[in-house]
Amino acid sequence: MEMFEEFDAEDWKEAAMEGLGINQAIEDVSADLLEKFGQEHPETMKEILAERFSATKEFVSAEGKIDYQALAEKLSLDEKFSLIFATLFSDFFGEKVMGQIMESTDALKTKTIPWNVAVEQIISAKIGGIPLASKTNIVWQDKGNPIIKLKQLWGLGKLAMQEGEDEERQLGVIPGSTIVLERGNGDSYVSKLSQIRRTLKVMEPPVILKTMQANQFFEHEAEDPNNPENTISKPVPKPGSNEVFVVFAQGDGLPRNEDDGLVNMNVMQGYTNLYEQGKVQWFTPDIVAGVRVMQGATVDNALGAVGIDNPAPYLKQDLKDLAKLVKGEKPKSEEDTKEDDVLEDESELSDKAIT
Amino acid sequence: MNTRMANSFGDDQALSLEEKLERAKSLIPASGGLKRLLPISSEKWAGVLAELDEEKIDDLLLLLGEEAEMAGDIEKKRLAQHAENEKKYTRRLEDLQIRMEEISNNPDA
Repeated sequence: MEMFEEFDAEDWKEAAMEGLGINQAIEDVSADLLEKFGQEHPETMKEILAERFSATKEFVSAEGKIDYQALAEKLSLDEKFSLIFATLFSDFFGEKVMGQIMESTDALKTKTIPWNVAVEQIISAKIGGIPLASKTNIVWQDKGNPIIKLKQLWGLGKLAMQEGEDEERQLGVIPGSTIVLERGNGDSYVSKLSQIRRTLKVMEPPVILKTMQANQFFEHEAEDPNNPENTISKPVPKPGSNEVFVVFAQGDGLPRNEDDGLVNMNVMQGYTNLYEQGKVQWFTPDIVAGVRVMQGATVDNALGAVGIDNPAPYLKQDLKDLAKLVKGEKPKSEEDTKEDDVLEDESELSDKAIT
Repeated sequence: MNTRMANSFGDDQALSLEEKLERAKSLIPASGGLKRLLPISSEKWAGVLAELDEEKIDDLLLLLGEEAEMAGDIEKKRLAQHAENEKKYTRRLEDLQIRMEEISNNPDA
């Protein structure tokens, strides 16, 4: 390199002593070696020093990038948690105070994520070999804690599945999509979602969050205005491009009728319609397994399709009962469970491709 | 679900209310999220905590624990990357040193 052309022995020594790097042992040895080598092999020495220079430059540059990246990640973490804490404390400090605090932060400038972009990013992600997303639905295999769900709704964390030991999955708010959540712990959870709704309104662009119970959402049978004795199917409501629907679903297992205790086919049909309509994030793998049964899958295939390896006994029973209802049979009592198992194995029902 | 998170939350839930408050007080100073939201002193936060019900304290502990864990992960990653970078640099220096030694020992090679 040209910069070394005019070096004499003293310069070599000086160059050797400077920027030799971080390892003192190497520095001590190399200093003498470089000095001697520079005098004996000046041409090769130029190459060696050029390579040392390049190595040191790359090292220093990488050190700075590492610190910068860590700082950026920490600031982003602070910003996101400040939003979550704002929700937590909003009723304590009062909406007006929290609104002023939140307006003064940049945190609300969080961008929302179009469905197609979200799906593209996670379409290839798999958990236990099960695809996380299809072109029309995203099925999250864990139910998780409501607070963690809040984070997911707020867009905390990364869009795609986080690499690492926890396989924690977090998704941003996707306008124009529907989210099916288990009902959670009553009023407290509803209250938190209401707080989110207020906050989403001030996001850019504003997102309107509508929450509703599954029964209300799937009031899919209505009187036919032309013939009051008939009922007609109402289409599943679709969120607008600036809306996110949250449907509260049965917490565990499938919904059952209060009167006869059978699986509620009306609600299950609603879920199936919603699944087939698409653009849905499901935080309720039990319900999706039920949807697969509604679509003709065997119980085992339905469970496998949503990655449930060890179903709770109540879920397996719910799905078996549902399978019978789908076939037009009346579910048998618990004593007949063993017989059901045999029938299930012999079933020729195939698992339809739904995605 | 994040198993570590679930475990730490479970541990916190097993604490008495007084212990939960102490734990929250110990975690709050390190919380970048709370500092950003409301930059008030630890003493003032202690006053806020005293007004919260237990359910809210539980939620707060869950979030503080998770935030601390995520911040710890960032720091761990940073240190690991520095160690890897230093290792890579040292290896390059060692390679150059070996090359010089070989040339010195075998000038005709």
